[in-house]
Amino acid sequence: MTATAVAPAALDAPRLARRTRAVLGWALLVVLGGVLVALAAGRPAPEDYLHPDGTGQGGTRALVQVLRQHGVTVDVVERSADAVAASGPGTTLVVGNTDLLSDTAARRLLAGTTAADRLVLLDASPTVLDALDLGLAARSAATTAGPAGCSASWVHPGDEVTRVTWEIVPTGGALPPGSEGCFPLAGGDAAGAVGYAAVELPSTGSHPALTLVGFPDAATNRFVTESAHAGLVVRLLGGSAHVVWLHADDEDLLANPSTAQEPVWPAWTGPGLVVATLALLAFAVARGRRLGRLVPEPLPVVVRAVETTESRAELYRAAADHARAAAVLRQASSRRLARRLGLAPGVDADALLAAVAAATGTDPPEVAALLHGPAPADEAALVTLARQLTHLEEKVRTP
Amino acid sequence: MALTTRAAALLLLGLVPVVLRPAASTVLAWVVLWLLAVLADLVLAASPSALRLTREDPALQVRLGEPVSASLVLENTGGRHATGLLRDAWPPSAGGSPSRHGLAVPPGERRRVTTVLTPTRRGDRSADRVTVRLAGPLGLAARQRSVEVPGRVRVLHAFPSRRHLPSRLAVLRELDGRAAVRTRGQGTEFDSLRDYVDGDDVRSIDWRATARRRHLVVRTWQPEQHRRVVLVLDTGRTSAGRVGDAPRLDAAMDAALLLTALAGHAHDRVQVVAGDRRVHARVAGSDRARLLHDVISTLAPLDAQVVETDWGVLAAEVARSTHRSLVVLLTPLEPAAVEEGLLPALPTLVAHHRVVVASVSDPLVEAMRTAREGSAEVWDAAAAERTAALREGTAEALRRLGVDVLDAPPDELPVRLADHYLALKREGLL
Repeated sequence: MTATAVAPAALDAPRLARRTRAVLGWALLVVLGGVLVALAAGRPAPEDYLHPDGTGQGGTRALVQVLRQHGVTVDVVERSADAVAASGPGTTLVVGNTDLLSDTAARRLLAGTTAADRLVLLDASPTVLDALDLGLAARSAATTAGPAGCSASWVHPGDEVTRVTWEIVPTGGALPPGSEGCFPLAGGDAAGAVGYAAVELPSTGSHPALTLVGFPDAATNRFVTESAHAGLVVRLLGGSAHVVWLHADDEDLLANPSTAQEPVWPAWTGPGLVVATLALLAFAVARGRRLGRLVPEPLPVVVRAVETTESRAELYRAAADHARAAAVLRQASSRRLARRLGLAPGVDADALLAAVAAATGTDPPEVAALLHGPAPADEAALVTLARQLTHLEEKVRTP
Repeated sequence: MALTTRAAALLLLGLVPVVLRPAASTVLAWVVLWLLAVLADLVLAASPSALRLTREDPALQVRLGEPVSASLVLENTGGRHATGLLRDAWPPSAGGSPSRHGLAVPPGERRRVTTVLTPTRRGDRSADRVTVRLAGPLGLAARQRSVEVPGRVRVLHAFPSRRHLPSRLAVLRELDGRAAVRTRGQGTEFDSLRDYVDGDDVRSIDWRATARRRHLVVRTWQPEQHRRVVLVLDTGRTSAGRVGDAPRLDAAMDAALLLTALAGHAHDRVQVVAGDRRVHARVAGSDRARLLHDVISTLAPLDAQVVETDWGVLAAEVARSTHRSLVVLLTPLEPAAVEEGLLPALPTLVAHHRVVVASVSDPLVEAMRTAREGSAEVWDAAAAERTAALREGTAEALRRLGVDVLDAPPDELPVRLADHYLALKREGLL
């Protein structure tokens, strides 16, 4: 057999390159297909409350569409920092959902957007108002408010609001100077202060013109068509040609960590931890100190005497040398039989066969086949031969 | 020095003031307070060097499998009460127990600390250092010191075949003529004349003396005495192989010890030589009680080495005496090792001495040879048959040189060797 007739075990270089190209091509196809499918599917419509792209009951997509039909550009941002960067003269900044707006983010927003036309807090919740420190607070309110009763540009006399969530009240008994409350709510608290469903604050050095809205539900897809809601919010938000709508996400929360939170751990945690660590160290030192050094053991050589024989068996088995194993077994049996029958160690085969046949009463050809027959072809034949030899020896021992 | 767990607990107790007054200064104050307490305790602890340690018996001897007590005497020469721990360190195979002792020694007094050793292996085991840890009065810190207190335990061969000695001695007495039956043969020596009693062999009547004395007189004989027996133990690599739990060398030693005891009783001069590339042990003597003790004690620390045995060296040791001797070579019948090493050295030995080769065989090989249930066993059986055939061939080669070959499992070899010796003695072949 020549070397050229044998196919090489390893792939040669051109075949390898072809196969690699094929694999890479398929991989590229799969990736491109995945990208196309993802682009076609697009992002699912968000379910968040007051989300400008939300088509559910709590979304405000209807309102945004109407604004866009009126020629207002609406940009949606998710970071307060982006909102600050996008705001400028001729811009109305709308803060929708305030769930993920931290106090730090709210303060930064207020201070950074002084150039904007107006900042509208569509959902003036108590936490945001507390954080902004405008001298105003919010509390849960009844659902309807009276007539507008203010002169703000976006309010027409006679407008009504039916879905009030927050009642905005001044903390100091009266509204800050220059500001104006709209839609006063009936009743008022124990101190007699009147609450409003919306408050207008003029721009100062520290913040732009602010509109705090306590009826966010009026902007949602579900309620925007109720009473005068649609006109109110469109006028409120459509005051400028450019609207930047901030819908803060969780990354914004991470970027602007809150400072107002109470520490969770008690004051002694730090020092206590130090003491516990030191105690643990002392414990480790106490337990780790050995009572005197380790004593070495002079170990003897450990070799099993039977190992050579076991290895020889393993060699026979690995080589599957039936002929050799059978020859060894036959020789050993012949030697023992000769000794048992009182024959000289070097007796010739025929004499041994005759003596064994006579002692056991078996046919000489049968004994000859056993002791001098052909080598067994497989393992099963070898096992049979070994058993038959044992049997023959037993027969000679106990005739 | 050493800290105690109590010191760590005390430090952890600092959590109480820290909770009451959570400040870094509280932590610092507590740690300083703790350090002062630990230092004070350390200063007030008794000095370990003031304890004088003496070993009661620096050279212990014990037979393998039996316990022995190793005692230390402590004398407190300092002025402080010494309390703490003591560890008398021995190698793991010395089986020391307990591993640590509690201590309480008042000033000026002596105490004994006893470690019970139950060795698990034959050989010499030296004591390592004795470590003393003495704690201060508060039990926060301790002073520790390790000192060498030399000591050794010699673990003797268990000599399990000694239970066969009484029966072989009875056989020897028969040969010796102390029992009623007297034997007569080539190898016996004329002892004395005495009156004939019924039952004596008529062939032993000395007719000349009978004629002189006018009544029947018989001659008595006694077996040969004062013959030389040389036992050569091979401590080379082939003796390191393990048969059962012990190396072959241990079985060979067992056989050598039984033969030494028996030959000592038969008033033969016994010499024991053990070696591989060089002679490791050499014991000779005729005082049988001393001899057996010497042989056991000298052979105890010997271990098989992973080197090829130089039979030239060992044969030269035997050939020091020109007297005809019984030379027993205790070496495994490993075909290659025997053919390369032993066979060339044998002819000169055989020319001057009666040579016996006693080999430890492996019962596992015999078990492999006869097990033929399945295919795996049959391969094993073929290999075992091959091993047996090779050993048989080697034994045959030795026999052709005029050497007696004994090949037996560890528990049979001592008896076989003793019986062979008695048979030689009976026939006067020594």
